[in-house]
Amino acid sequence: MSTGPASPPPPNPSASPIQGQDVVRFDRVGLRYGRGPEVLNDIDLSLGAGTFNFLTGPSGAGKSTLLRLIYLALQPSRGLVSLFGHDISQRSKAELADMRRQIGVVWQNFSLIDHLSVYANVALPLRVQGVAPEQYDRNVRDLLSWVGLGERLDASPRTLSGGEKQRVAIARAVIAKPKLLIADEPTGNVDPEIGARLIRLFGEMNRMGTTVLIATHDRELIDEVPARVLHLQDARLYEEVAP
Amino acid sequence: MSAASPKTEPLLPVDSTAERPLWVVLSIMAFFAVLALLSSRLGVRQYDGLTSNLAGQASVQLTDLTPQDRLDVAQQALAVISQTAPDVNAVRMNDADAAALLEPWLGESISAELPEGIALPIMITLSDSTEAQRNSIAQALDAASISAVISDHKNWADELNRSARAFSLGSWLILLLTFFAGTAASIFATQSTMSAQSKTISVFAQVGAADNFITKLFVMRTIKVGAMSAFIGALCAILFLGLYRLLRGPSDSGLLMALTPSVSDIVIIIALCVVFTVVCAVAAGVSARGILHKTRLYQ
Repeated sequence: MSTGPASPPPPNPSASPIQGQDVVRFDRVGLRYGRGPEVLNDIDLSLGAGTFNFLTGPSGAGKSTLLRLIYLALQPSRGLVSLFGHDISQRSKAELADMRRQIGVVWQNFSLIDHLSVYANVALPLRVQGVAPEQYDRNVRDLLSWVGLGERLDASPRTLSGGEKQRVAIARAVIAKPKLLIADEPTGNVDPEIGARLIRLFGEMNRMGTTVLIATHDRELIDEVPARVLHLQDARLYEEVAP
Repeated sequence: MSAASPKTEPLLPVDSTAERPLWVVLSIMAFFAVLALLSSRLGVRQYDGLTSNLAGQASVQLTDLTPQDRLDVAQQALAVISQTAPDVNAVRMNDADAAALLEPWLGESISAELPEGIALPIMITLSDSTEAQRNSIAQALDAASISAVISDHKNWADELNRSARAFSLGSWLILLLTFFAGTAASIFATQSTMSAQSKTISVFAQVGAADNFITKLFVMRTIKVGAMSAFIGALCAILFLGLYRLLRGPSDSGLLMALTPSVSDIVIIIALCVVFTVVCAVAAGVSARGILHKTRLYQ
């Protein structure tokens, strides 16, 4: 379902589902806060296993909200959300926790824990899964070296620059080799060289089978990477069609 | 960070300023819990000691005496007792001790100079006497026309028993209250920490931490704080009693002196610290679990 370099979005509502292969599936999903208007309206979405996807759209269109629905931080006002083939409304809290372990998230605000070191922040998903420190230690160090933070293992996130925080957040998102990787503006605060390296990392994970969904404003990035492009505008989701 | 040994950092912040009041409150609770526990044991111990001393003890009070005949009547009574119950050890109490013993019932004037014609009653203590022997002695004294009252201290022992029970019950109530207070403090601390760390908890949940994992973090944290606070409180209580003993000297027989813990008390204090810690940890776990239960998704 991936496309080549994208063109501006034609009014082509909804992505067509990949039956049986969907990691994420939305059927007529709507979301409103309180009694306000719907910020997402009749969203039909399917992300096939192993696909690379971009989510774009103007600021305030609801990209972050859509991502939060996918990574189970929000509950839809209506419609059906399925993750890994399971209707989330039918899942227990423990099962939702299991699902979250299969999702790596890079938040726009990084969501790093200030009282933990860079190393501990990155190792967090593995600790939560009960992996022994001896088992993940090498991977955490290697990954942090790879993103250029090999010398900042003990540093507090408070002392990091925006770009460094973003790299820590990305390392934390990928350390547990999730089935689904979601990133909200992952290259927004890093220089082009690091940005390209991070996108290579996402591409590498995608080649190993991880489904990737990146929300971004970066048109250059979207044009450089051959991927499916979803466009969110006026509370509705469209798929961009390659020219 | 050493490359050889991976460091596992505590997931919840430690030694934060907000935690200090909890340490202080739980330490004070543990301090009072230890004092209450020792008081309760004191009540039982004092009662057991006194009733043990009173077992087989009785006193014979010779009355209707005149200053002129009181010594003769005392000799006569001792002879009657010796003939009636040779196994019983009967000893006449000296007048000063007898006056001191009778003072609570007969007033301070008993110790002062008595008016002319009134004699100080004679007190004879009986050791190792049975009830049957005491009845025989009473009959023999009556037959010898000696006016006497024999007391086996039963009323006093019953009164002691009631007092000891009341004292012990009061101590247990205080102990229970300190546990309630410790529980409430743990719940409050857990709730305030969860509120302060809501962003952290949200991140834990987002990376896949189940409620049990998050609850365990708070339980473990409370176990650490509770155990240390209980130890500090217990140590302060023991030091307080030791210092009191040191300042008042070994001759003091006040109530606090009797609270000085023995080896068995120390064992029980350690058990108390463990129970106190468990109670606090359970309170924290239930509280954390309750808060997490209300939240299905984390934002």
